Amino acid sequence: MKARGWRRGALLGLVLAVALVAAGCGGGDEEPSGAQSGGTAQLQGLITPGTLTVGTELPAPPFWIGNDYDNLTGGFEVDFAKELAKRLGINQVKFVEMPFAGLVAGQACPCDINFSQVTITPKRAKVVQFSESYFDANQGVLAKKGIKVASLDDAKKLRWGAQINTTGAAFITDKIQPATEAKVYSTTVDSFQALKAGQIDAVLLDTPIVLGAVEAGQVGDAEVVGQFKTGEVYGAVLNRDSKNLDAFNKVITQMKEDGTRDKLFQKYFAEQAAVPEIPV
Amino acid sequence: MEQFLDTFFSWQNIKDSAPSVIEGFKTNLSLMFVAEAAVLIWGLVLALLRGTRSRATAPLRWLTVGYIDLFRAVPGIVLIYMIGFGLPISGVPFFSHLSQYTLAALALTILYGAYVAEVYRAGIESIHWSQTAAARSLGLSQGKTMRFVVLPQAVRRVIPPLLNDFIGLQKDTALIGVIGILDGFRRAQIYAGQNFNLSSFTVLAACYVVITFPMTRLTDRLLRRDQERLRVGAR
Repeated sequence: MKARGWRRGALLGLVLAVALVAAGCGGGDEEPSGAQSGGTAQLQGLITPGTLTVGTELPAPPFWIGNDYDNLTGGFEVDFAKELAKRLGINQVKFVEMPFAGLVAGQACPCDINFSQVTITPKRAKVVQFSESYFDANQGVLAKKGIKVASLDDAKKLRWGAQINTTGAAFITDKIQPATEAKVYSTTVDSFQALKAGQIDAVLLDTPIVLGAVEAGQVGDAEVVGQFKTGEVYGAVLNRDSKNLDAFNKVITQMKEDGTRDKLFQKYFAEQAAVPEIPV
Repeated sequence: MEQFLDTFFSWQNIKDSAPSVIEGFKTNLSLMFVAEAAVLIWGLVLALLRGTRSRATAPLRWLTVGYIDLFRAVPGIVLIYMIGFGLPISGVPFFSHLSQYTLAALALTILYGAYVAEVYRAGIESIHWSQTAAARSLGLSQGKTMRFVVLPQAVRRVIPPLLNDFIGLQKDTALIGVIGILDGFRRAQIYAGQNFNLSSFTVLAACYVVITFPMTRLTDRLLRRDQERLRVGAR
C-alpha cells in the first residue's frame, strides 16, 4: 500500500512536470484527472489504459536487444520508448509485433506508437503519421569479407539484395542501378540468409541495422564495408487515426534538445561513425 | 465505395504496374510448367515404388510411404524456404550451386510429387484385378502388365485429379518470392509498397485467373466425359 501511494505521488509529480513543460503555462485545469489514470491524461485512446503499447518487428539489434517481445534486455529504441513513456507519465510499456511491410503499407498497428527504424518519406507520410525524427541513418553495405566497395562503379557490379519496400531497395534501383536486378526479401534476416547462401554479394540496409546484425552474429563471415549517405531520418509511426502526435512530438523534441537521444546513440552506435563513406 | 474501387481497381495503377507484374509472372509461368513436368515423372516413380509387392523392395516401399506422408504434411512455403536457403547455406555438394529458380522448382517437385504419387496410386488401384490377371495369363511380365495394361487405363482415369493438383501447383508458385525471386507477387508487392495502391495485385490475380480458368474448365469437361462414358458402359 505504501509503495503504491509513493508511486502514485511520483506519477502525479511527473505528469505535472511534463504537463508544465509540454503545455507551457496553459492547462491548469487538466491536473486533477491525472491522479486517476496516470499519463493517459495526455494521451488519448491508448490500446491498454495506463500502458504504452509499442510496436516493432524483431529482431533488430541494437535497436532491440533480445528476441522475445516480453524479455527485451535493452536497445536504442527500447530505451527511447521507455524514456518517452516515463516522460509522458506512463509507467508500463508493452512491446508487440507489427510486421514492417504492413506498417508502411498503412495497415493499422495494434499499438500506440511504433518504432521500427522507419525512414520518413513523403509517400509514406500519406498513409501513416510520422513523429519528429529521432535518428539520422545512412545506408550500410553488408558484404562477404573480401569484397571492396569504394565507389559507385564498384557497387554497380555486385548482385544486390535488400528488404522489400525499404529505402535501401529504392536506393539500389534509383542510385546504384546495378547490372543485375536487385533481389528483395520479406525480412532483413531473409536477405542475410541469401548472403550466406551466396545468392547475392551484398545487402543494403540502414547502417545501424547491418552493424547490429554483424555484432549479433546473424550474417556469417560478412562485414560492413562502407555506407552511403542519404540524409534520411527515422520517425516513429502512429496510426492514421491517432490523436497523440503532438504529445509524442513534444517529448521527442525535448529528448533531442536535452541530449538524452545523443547519449543513447553513443551507448549503442559508437561504431557507426567508423564506417567509411562511399561517395555517390 | 470510391476508396475501395480506387484501392483495387485504379486504372492508372493497373496500367502502370502491369508491365512489371507481367514480367514477374513470366517466371511463375515457366516455373509451373517446368515443375509440373518434373512432378508428373517423379510422382509416377513414387507411385510405382509404393505399389511394388515383392519382399525385396519392402525397405524402398517403406521409404516411399514415409516420403509421401512427410511431404504431404509440410507446407509449401516452409519447404521452399528450407530448400531455397538451406541447401546453399549448408554447402551440400551440387545443390548449393543451383540457381534460386532451380531450387524453387526442386522444392515444388518434391512437394507435389508426394500429392501426385497418391493420385497415381488411386488410379492404379482402381483398375480391376481381373485386368492384371488376364494380362499375366497372356504371358505378359509384371512390368509389361503395368506398362501396357494397367497404367494406360489408370492414368486416363486420374487426369481430372491430376489437373486439380496442377492448378494447386500453379498457385503455389506465388510462394517462391520468399527466397528472393522477383516473381509476380513480389513485383506486385513492390509496386504496392511504393504507390500505396493494391491494383498491382489485381493485375496479378487476373494473370492467374487467365492461366487457371481454362484448366478448371477442361477438368470439368474431362470429368463429365468420363462419367458419361461410365454410364453408357462402353469401352
